[in-house]
Amino acid sequence: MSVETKLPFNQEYIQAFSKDRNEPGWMAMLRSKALEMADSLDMPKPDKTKITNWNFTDFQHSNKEAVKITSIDELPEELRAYFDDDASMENLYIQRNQTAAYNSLSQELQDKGVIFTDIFTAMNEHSDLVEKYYMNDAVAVDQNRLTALHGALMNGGIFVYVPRNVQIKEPLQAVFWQEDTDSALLNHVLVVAEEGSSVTYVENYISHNDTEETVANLVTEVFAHDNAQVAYGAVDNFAAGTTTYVNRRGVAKHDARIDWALGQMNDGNTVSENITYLMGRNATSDAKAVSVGRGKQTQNFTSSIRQFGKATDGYILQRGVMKGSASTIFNAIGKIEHGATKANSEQESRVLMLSEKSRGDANPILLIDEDDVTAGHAASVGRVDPLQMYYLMSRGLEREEAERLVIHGFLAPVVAQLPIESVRKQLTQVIERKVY
Amino acid sequence: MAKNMPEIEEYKYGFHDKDVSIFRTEKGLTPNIVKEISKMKEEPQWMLDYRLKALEHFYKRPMPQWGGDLSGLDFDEIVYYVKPTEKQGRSWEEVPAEIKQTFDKLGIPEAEQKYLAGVSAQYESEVVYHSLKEDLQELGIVFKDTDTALKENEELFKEYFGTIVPYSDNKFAALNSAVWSGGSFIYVPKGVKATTPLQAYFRINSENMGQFERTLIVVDEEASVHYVEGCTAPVYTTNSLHSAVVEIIVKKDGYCRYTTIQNWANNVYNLVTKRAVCDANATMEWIDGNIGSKLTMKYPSILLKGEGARGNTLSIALAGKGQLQDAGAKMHHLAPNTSSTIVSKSISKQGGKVSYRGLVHFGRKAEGARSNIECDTLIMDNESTSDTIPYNEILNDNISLEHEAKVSKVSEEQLFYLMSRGLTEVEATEMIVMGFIEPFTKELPMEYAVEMNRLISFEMEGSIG
Repeated sequence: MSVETKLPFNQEYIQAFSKDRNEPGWMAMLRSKALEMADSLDMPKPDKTKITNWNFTDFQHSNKEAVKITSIDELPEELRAYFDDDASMENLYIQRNQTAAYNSLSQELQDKGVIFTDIFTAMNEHSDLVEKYYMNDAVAVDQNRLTALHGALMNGGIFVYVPRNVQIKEPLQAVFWQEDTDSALLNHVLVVAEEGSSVTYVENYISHNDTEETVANLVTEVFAHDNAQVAYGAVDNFAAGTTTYVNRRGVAKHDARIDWALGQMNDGNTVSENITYLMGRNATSDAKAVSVGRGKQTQNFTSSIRQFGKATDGYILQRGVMKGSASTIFNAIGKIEHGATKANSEQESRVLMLSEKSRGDANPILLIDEDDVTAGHAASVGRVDPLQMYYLMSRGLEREEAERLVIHGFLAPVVAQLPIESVRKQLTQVIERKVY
Repeated sequence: MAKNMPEIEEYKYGFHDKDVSIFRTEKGLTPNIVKEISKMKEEPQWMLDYRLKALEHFYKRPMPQWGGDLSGLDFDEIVYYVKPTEKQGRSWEEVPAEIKQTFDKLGIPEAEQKYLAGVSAQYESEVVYHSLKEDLQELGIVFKDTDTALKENEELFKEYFGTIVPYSDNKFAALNSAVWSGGSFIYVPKGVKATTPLQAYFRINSENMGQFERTLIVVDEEASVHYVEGCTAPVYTTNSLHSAVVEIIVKKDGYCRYTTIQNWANNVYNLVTKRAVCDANATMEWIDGNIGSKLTMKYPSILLKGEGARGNTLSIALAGKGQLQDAGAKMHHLAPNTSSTIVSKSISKQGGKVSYRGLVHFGRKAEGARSNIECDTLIMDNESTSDTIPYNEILNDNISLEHEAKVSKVSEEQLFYLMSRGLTEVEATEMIVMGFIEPFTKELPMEYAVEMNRLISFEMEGSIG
């Protein structure tokens, strides 16, 4: 094994970490095996972005337990913006660094058997259930060095479980707050929706390390069983010092639906993979993602829907606004497997260029192994549409105001999709801050 | 809709004649073979040096790991140079009977009609027949096989050769640079417009023979030319390699159109590097048809480096049983107000795979540049597949790019409509396919359009049960 791949963590460390958290045997084993694999696996290879010089492996892994929160008033001003004014603090999870600082679930949902708890508690209390889904069918430990590293060093996250036929109307919200600037986050979000159930989950990632360098290595696994519906919203907002690898995957069975609305607003270098497997017939996924690139950051976003089931529908929408000397690659991949007759695959990637020094690539890719399908993609890259500008300015708006409106309109497909008013507002603010 | 997949008919041009070659190199590739080729051709020292440098690069360069499967390609099993006759035929009568017969079957004499200015027919590696209408000659247009041009127009040749596609470009450009033979050399002087297309036919006859033609076209300022190249090759059981390099320079306000219909037999690896450079307000057009071969990897490319330069690529690809057409286009917008369009039409059938692989690049200086890309694919049956992989690299904010692609099968509504008008399913399907590729065929010189339609109809026969 070569020196450059050597990790700063060994088996003893990992086992001690696992024991501290009273993890079940299978988890301790998974960590140990993952660490063994990490050295020999390759790094992920995002198409068209070189990440060989990015730091993903050198970081501060654990820190001391953070203080719990009892009321929203204990949060700093900046964070309070993430909650509605009249927030009941119900159906909410706040993770402060790696500590579950606040967790509530309404009595009604508890009675129905819904689980909404931090991943360590879940492993203790629902070991079999978590084991069944954790890094098996969606994100595999041996996918690449970073997923292996995640498997070995996972240090936070949440488990969402919705029993059969339970429909949750109000959204569940999770806030992952990196209060300390130096610690890395290897967060795992596991969402399981049993047959006929439905859930809306929204998450926020926040950090403040503009200069201190650290790593976020995030994995999300979503399972929608027959007839289940999962709407997954996210606003990622890591500060410039964080190098992020985020791997969000979904598996949809018969007649199931997984929708993604991802506001990818990190200020640091980011590799994001969002892959949905439509395994069952009539399964649907609508994967939307928006991003604003600014400063010197480099980002790579891959959205992919792989369709195995008959009559499945996959839609991908990607929109990006490019500023400064930021560089972003958008890859939208629709794959229809042999046998997935009557499937439909559509992708749309649009990039708005606001700076002559930036780079914005839009690569819509179709891989079709079946004839009885419909598939199409469209991509466009350009400036703010002068016609729209002309129209708005002819109505009396200043240039800057008109441009702002056009940009917000451009990013609206994801903003509008987020079910929580405060999160929508908050994303709008982030966009505002990043664009101006 | 039930579709039977009858076997494809025997390859139309799959006859092959008795070997009449007077010289051929041993199989495999060594510096000695390169030296021998150069010596046979009585080349200047600089060309031999260039070949040897290229060969060294070829040895060093790894095989490409993307696109098609190249594992069946054995460089040691290929004959790199065959000289069919000692002398180049000056008139049709002088061409040896057996070779002539081959051409007769391909219909070359008929092809030399009023639409065609000149015929430079390549039989194996040497141009055996070559004529150029007198009026073109009077205009000062040079249209020769590349070997002759090196002898007779060495200065012009040396000025441009290898400047657009250096041997270090890729492994197969290196191979071509080491062992190239034949191809066309065209020079169109300033302000001269060739009103009729120039044409060359290429053909591989010997088993296990690589064909490495090298084409160099220079269109001077305000000049214009249309060059047509068609390929046919006989069927053999072991694999042949065709690895050409085409370099084109279009100077200020010049125009060049390069039309190819590639119909190699389906045991041929067709690995071609084609690239053009456009100066200010110049136009380059690739009209590229890929019907044959076992594997084609070809991405005609245009560097738009002068302000206002235009590039168009219009291509079709048809992949049948056992075939992979990995084709596409590349446009590099390197100057302000450059524009490009790419239209790609792909068809896969009987288990074939067709891939569009493209790149449109907007550089920092491409202020006001624009590009439109359209890729359509028709998948004829349940065994066939298609990939569409377009890369769009944008490093400038003042550009506009629009890309669209569609993948579909022959629409049942269209079929139903046509059949309700009395057409059989076969006729209806053929009509839909013809309509699908019509943007391409209508850009071909008439004779080629006819041949193209014949080929497509022939390829489609029995595709529908």
